[in-house]
Amino acid sequence: MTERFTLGRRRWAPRGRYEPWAIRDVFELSQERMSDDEFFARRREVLSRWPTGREIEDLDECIAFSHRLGPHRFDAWRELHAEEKEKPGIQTGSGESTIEKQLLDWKLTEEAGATHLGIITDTYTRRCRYDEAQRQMERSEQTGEDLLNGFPLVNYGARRVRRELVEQVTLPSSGTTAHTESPLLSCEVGLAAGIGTGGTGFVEAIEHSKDYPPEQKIKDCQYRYRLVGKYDEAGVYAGIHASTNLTGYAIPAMSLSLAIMEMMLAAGQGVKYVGLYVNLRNHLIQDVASHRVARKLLPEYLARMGCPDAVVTSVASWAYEGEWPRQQEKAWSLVAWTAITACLAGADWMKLKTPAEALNVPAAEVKAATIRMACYLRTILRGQRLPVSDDLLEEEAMIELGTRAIIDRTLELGDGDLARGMMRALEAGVIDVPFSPWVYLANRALVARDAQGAQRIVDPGNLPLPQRVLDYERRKMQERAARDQISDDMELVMEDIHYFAGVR
Amino acid sequence: MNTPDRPWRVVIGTIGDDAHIIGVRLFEYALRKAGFEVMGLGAQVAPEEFVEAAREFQADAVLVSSVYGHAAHDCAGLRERSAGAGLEGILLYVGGNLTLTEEDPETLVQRFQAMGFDRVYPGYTDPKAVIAALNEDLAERVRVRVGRSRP
Repeated sequence: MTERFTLGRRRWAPRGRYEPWAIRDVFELSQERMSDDEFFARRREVLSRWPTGREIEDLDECIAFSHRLGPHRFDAWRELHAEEKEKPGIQTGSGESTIEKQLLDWKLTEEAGATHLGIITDTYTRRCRYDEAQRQMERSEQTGEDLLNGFPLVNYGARRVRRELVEQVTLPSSGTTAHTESPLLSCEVGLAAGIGTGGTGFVEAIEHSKDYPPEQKIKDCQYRYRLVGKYDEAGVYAGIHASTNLTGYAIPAMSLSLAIMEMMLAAGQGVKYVGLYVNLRNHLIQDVASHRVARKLLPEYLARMGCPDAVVTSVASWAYEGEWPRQQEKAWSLVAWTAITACLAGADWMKLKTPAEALNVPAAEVKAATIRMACYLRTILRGQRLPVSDDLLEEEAMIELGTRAIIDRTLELGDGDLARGMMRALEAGVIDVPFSPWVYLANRALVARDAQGAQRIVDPGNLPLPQRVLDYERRKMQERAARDQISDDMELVMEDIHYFAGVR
Repeated sequence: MNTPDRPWRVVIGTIGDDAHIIGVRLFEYALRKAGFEVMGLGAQVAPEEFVEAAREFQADAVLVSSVYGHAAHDCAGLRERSAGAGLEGILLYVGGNLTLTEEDPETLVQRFQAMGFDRVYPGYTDPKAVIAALNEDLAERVRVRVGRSRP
C-alpha cells in the first residue's frame, strides 16, 4: 500500500451540534452489545441536538406509541405476513418540504397501490443543519414554495409527525434517515413517530461523505442498531434493512458483503428483524443472482454472529443508483425494467425511482403513475421467475465466492471482531468502492461493464477476491474488449460512466 | 528534492464546494497506472488544503478539477498561496467546466494562465493528454535544473 492520505482525518470536526464518540484506538471498537449506560448517555446528547428531541425523552412512551399503531404498520411485520400474491411489494421514496404536502403525497401513493410508504429527509437534516432546515421549512409553509429537497423530520418532531402524518395513513412506512453525518436524531424522531429507519450508515458514508471518520460512523451505526434493537426486543417489528447502493459503480460482492456485515453488526446490537435491499445493476442474470446470494448468505452470517433471535424478513430490490436518462421514454423504460427485474428475481418488495430522477424532485402524480405501472407489470408477471440456467448458477457462484471472501477477510483482520475488522479492512483496501468521495477508502479497485452490461472488476486493488473469480471477471471483460476493440482499461471504465444516461 | 529516479508526485482534487468526484478518481487511477505517486484529496477541497497537502506530500504538481462553474472564484490566489508556502515552482494545472457561461476556450485558457496556472483544460479532457503534458513539463524542469548544475 502506498502512503495513506492523513490530512482529511486531522481536519474533521463535527459540523452540526453533536459530540464525537471518544475513541482513540481501534481496540475501543467492538461488536459487543452497547451497554445501557453508554446508550442512554449518548441518547441524552442525541436528543439535545434539537428542541424536538425533548418530546421523545421517554423511550418507553415511544415504544408504547408503536404498539398502539399496530405491528402491521412496520415493514418487517408486513414482510413476515404478506401473502405471495402481494409480492413484490411496491414503494417509492418521498420527501416534501411541509407536512401537509407530505401527507398528500403519501395518500396519493397509497391510492395508487403502494404497499410501503417511504420518506427521505432533506440535505440540511442529513448534515445535522437543523437550523437551516427550520428556516426553509417555515418559509415553505408561509409561501407555499418547495424549498427543501426532502422532509424536515426532526424540525416537525415526533408529536406532529405522529398526529398529522403517520396516524393519517394505513401502510407501513420507513425512512432513509441514515445519512452522512451523525443521523441519530433523525432515526430517533422517525422511530418515535412510527416510521422505521432504513439504509445503512457505513454504506451511506461511502456514497456521500467526504471525511466523516469511520470509527465515528461504526459507533453511530451501533447506536442506531441498539435503538432499533430496543424497539424489536419490546415486540415492535421495527427492524432494519441494509441498503447496498454504494456509488452505483460496484460489483455485487462489494455491495452484498458490506450490507451483510452491517446487518451482522445490527444483530449484534439486538435487532431481530433484518433485511437487505439489492441495488439493481440492470443486468438480469447479475441482479437475480445477487438476490439469490443475499437470501443464502444473510441467514448464514447472522448465525455466525451468534444471534439466534435474528430473523431475515426480506430481500428487496432497489432501483439503479447510477446516472439516469433525462429523456422520458428512456426513463420510463428504466422504471419498468426495475419492476420487471424485481418480479423475476422474486424480490419481496421493490423500491422504485421515478422517471423524474435525472430532472427534479418528482411530483406526487409522477410517483402515483410509477406505482400504477409497477402494479400492472406485477400483474402481468405474477409468479414468473427467471428460469435457472448454467449462466445464472455460475454468476451466483462467483458472487457468493467474492462476498464470502470480503466478509471472511474482514473478520480475520478483526481477529473475529467485526467492528475492528471493518476499520482495518477499510485501511487495508479490503473494503473499497470506486468513485466514492470518502477520503478513507483506498480507491484502488475499478469496475466496468462487460459485453452484456454486467458490472465486472477491472482492477481488484486490494480486494481479496479468489483467483477463480478474477479469472471469470477477466474473461467477461476480454469479451467486451474484443467486441469494442478497446484494450485500455481506462477507456472501458470511462465509456461506462454514462451507460444508462441514454447516450447510446 | 525532485530527481528523475523518484516517481513524480501529484496532488489532485475537486476545488471549493464542488462535490463532483468521478473525474478526479479516474485521473487518480490513470496517474497511478502511469507511475505517478498520487495524493487524491477527493472533492470539496478548500484551496488551502491543496497547498498544505502539496507541502506535506512534497508534490511536484497540483491538479485542480472544477465542474460546477465556480473555478475562477475558487482558484483565485492559488499560485500566490503556493508561493507563500514555499512551493514557488510547483506545477499547477486546472481542468473541467471552468465557467458558468459560454466562453471561448482560448479566452478561458488565457484567463487561468494569467492566474498562474501552467496548463488549462476547459471541458472534458482525456487523462492521457494530461499525463503526457505532466511528463513533458516535469522533464523540462529536470533539464533546466541539470543544466544549471553544470559548471
